[in-house]
Amino acid sequence: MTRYVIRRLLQAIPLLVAISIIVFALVELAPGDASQMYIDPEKGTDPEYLERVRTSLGLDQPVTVRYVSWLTKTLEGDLGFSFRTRRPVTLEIGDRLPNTLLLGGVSLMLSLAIAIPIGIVSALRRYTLVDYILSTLALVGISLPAFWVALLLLQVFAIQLNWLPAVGMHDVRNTYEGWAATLDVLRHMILPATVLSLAQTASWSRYQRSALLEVLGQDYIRTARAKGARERRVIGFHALRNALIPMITLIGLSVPSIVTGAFITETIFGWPGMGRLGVEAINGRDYPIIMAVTMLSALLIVTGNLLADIAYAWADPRIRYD
Amino acid sequence: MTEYAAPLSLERQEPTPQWKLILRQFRRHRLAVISAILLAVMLVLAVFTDVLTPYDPNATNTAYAGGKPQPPSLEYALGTDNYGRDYLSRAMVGARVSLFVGVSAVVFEILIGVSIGAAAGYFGGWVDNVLMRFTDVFLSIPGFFLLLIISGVFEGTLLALIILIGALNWMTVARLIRAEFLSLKGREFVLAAHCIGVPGWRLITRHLLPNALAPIIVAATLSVPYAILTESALSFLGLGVPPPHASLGKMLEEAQQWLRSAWWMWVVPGVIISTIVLAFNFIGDGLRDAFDPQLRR
Amino acid sequence: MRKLLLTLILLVTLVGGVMPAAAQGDEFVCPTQGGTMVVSYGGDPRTLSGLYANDGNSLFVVTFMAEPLVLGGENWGDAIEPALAESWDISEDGLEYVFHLRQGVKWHDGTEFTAADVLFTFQAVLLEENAIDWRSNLMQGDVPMEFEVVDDYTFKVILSQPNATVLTALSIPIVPAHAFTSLNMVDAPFNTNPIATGPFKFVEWNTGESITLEANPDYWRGAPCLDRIVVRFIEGAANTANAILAGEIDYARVDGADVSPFQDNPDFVLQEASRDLMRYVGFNTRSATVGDPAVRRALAVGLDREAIIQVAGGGYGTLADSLFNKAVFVYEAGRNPQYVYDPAAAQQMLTDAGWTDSDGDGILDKDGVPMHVRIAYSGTWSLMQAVAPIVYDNWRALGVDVELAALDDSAVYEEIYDNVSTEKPYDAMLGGWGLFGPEPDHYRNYYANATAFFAYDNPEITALFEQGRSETNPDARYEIYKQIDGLLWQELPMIPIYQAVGAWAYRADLNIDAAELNGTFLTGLKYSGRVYFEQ
Repeated sequence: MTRYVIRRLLQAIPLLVAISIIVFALVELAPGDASQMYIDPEKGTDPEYLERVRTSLGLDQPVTVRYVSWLTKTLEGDLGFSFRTRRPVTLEIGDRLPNTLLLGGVSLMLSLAIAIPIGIVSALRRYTLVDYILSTLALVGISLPAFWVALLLLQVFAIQLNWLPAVGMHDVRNTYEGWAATLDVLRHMILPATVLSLAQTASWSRYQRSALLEVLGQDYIRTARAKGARERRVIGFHALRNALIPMITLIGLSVPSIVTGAFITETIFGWPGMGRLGVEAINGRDYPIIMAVTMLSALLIVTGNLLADIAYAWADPRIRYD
Repeated sequence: MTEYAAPLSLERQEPTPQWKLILRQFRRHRLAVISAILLAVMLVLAVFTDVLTPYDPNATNTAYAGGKPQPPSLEYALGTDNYGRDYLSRAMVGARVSLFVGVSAVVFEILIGVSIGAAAGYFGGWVDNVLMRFTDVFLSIPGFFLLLIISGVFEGTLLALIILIGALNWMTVARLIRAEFLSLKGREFVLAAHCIGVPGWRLITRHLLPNALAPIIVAATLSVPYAILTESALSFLGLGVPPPHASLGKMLEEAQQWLRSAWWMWVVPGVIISTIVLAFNFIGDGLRDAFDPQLRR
Repeated sequence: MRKLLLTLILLVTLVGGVMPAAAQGDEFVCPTQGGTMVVSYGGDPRTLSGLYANDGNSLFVVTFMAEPLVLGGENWGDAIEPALAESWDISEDGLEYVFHLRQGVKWHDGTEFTAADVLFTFQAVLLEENAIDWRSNLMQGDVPMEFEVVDDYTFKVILSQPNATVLTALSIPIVPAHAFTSLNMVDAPFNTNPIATGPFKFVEWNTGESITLEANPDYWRGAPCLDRIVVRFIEGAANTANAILAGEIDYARVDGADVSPFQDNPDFVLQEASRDLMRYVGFNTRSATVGDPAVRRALAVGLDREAIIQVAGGGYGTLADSLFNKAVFVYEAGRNPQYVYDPAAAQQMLTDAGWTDSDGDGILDKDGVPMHVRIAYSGTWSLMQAVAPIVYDNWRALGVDVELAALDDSAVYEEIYDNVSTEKPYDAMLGGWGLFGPEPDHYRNYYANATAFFAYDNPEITALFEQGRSETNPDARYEIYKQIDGLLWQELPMIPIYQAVGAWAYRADLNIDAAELNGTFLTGLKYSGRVYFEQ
């Protein structure tokens, strides 16, 4: 197992390098560069000033030199400075990543907590009215554009009813301590987390349903039943355990989306997360940040896949890696 | 973009479909049939949009609107936006854009996916290895994020949008086809064809691909919603279809300012996107049920 | 009246009189004390250093904290008024400016403000490695201005040639010398943790969310009434309006269409003020199609600018009748004849200029060249997005083949603002500019510069700008710029659409009367220390 993990990690290295070259090249190909962030569109500028900004950002160097220097510095653990703020990239990301992980993690939990029971109920009551309604609702949930749902929720719950805050992560008027602070963040999280988990819940409940249905048709379930095991034990122990395996894969595959998957939601709800940072960086060609966000996501995708495979092996004794 | 769940099924599909049986099975999925009819109507409307729109969708009527969206009236069936542009005409054009981008991007995606998957599955060995590593690279790229970067490179033309969405989503199809080919390669009829000297490309196009058609069709149908939602999300961010042309995502973006005062501004495009996407999802669902005897009712 | 006053002030300063210590309401007493005002402008600032802040997000925050010697420069109001300098003398030959600094002013950390800080600031601006935008302000051709510290409270500026624009050029926020280890400040910690002399001091920056500022009790105009100001980062005009309605922001400027929910709403006050901001359609004057001034005039007549104000500005704007902003001292409403919207007349003007649809394809052409106009603009700037559809529809109706290129910000800069020494694909662009203050010389960079984005360099106008810069007689100066104004209005290197009028929405129990709503400051507030909550 250890050897397998090491081999997979080694395989990931050329893959990450390939991605970094692709993204770096694309940022380079895109028209314009980071110097434009040093001008206000409502004001003008003079070309000499732009040249000085370019020099001070190192943008006067050829692209290959910049890539190699980025790569070597990154390998040394130095991610460089954001072109926008001139703050270290590690600081910029360090400020945002926890917020994004919090929001993503909570919506992931929320999705699981709702999707699995719905999937189980649908599968056990298959082809009944309950199943029919739940499956149709799930499809509707997948089909609604997230930003549309976000706008509607914002309009109803924040502006019309004024039950929940419309923007941000904290109440900036008051400072809270302890539990009150947690509650404050939770209140701000309700709307964005709902939007983020909607499509996920819908699609996962469908996977859960079909996974359980498939397992229920397997021979070993029939055997268990034939041996006279009680139905609850058959479902709860034999069937469910195996039906959860595909779910593990799905969760593993969803981990990276926590980092970059939420930025429309983050923008609408003013959540201080990675998504907004990434979009701002793209708009400003702030490549130290763009590279960091991309590489972090790619790394997460790779580890997410790996974790999914390992969890798979752990849950299903028939699978062995070596 | 994973604010929308990846639509592709991880389940392996059974080959050798019998079309009549499948059609009969499909017809039993009532919502899928209704969706298919609905989509057919929309496609016809889309083809004849230029003739059918009551107004030029880009013509402003600022004197009528006075800077504010005007509600539905006898003159303008779905009202106007704040420029006084006919909302029905814009919605029709927007729906056409969504359908066009969604379907074309998926066609493109299937072309790449099938080519790569077929080559990897058929040739195996180092070809398979190289192609699968290539697929891994694309699978590890945060797709929507990359889409945003590239949108800056090509200023948003429809064609660029279609190619981009397709180019970033072919991987699942490739893997699906590869797996299908690997399993088909061991079957007697393929071995037999091989023995009597059927050339490779003929084997692929005549024997392997037709047998892998079912999963391709299901995957394609279920990919369209993803493509449509991606286009609308990009347009919502101001990066999709170039202005002043209407797109449903763009219309929703413009509606943001009028949430309180002009319901038709956000209801119309939102309902249309959701309906199109839902219809494709129902059809995909129906097709999967029809192709897959295990889940058959 | 204001213009007259301004001319008078200029007159006084230029002749060499001593400005009296302006004491406009210095003894303001806060009716109530305390409270936190939450405001918003846009996203995270790039920097908090007054010397680097030249983007809206940064300037907005800096304006609450920092101060220049003299008001009247870019973003610092529409009038030359004393700030950190109490008064100044100008030598007879106009080459020496002596500033008398305000005594007893404290930096936010308690250190005394002196002439050494002023010298340090100007030296840092001049240092090329610092890449500070204001550097050109302190240059006279290739020679920098000379600076001299006479004593702790007297500072001298020496010029090599007479320059009528010195006071606005020196209107740059001063930074404290003791907060830096060297003149090189590109990566100074100060940029994210600033110290200044203004009414509010920096406390904390939660990136992506907010910046907290706290009242400076020792402020020389008197302690602010509020305890704190929180700048909250919300992007998108619609989101900002939503946040005000939801009670999460107390004060912000709202854009065009977002004004409506605040009209006739008892919970909010909506107040307008003219902004030093112009929206325009600019031309690449080298373009094959719009290079001819006659075509540009026709396009101006064929553009329904009133409709643009109504739709894009939500009615908030005044139809422009000059290529100078209102804040410029030479501006006078109604002096130039208006280009009134008249599509038929525009069509005739195009025909007269030689553009007809000779091949019947619906597109005008001349000598076989079709009238193709590519309009480039920022697709992420909601105001430009709002202007584009009307320009498109109006000009299309004249038979112009309009191509709208909504680019992302970096691409816009690459195509438009970057050095225009090479051929650029755009024929026209949509833009907005401002915060230039009262000095018309700022416009020289655009209206007399072949490498700027209009690629416009008319020898007559360029010569007049040169003349205006060194002319020290205010009346003669006024005449020169008046002449430039008339010429530009004929030539139209850009079609000015409208002069923006800002609409600020704020909570009904917030009182900003004494703070003086002034659209030529980015914050909209001239004296932010005088904002208070009514109890």
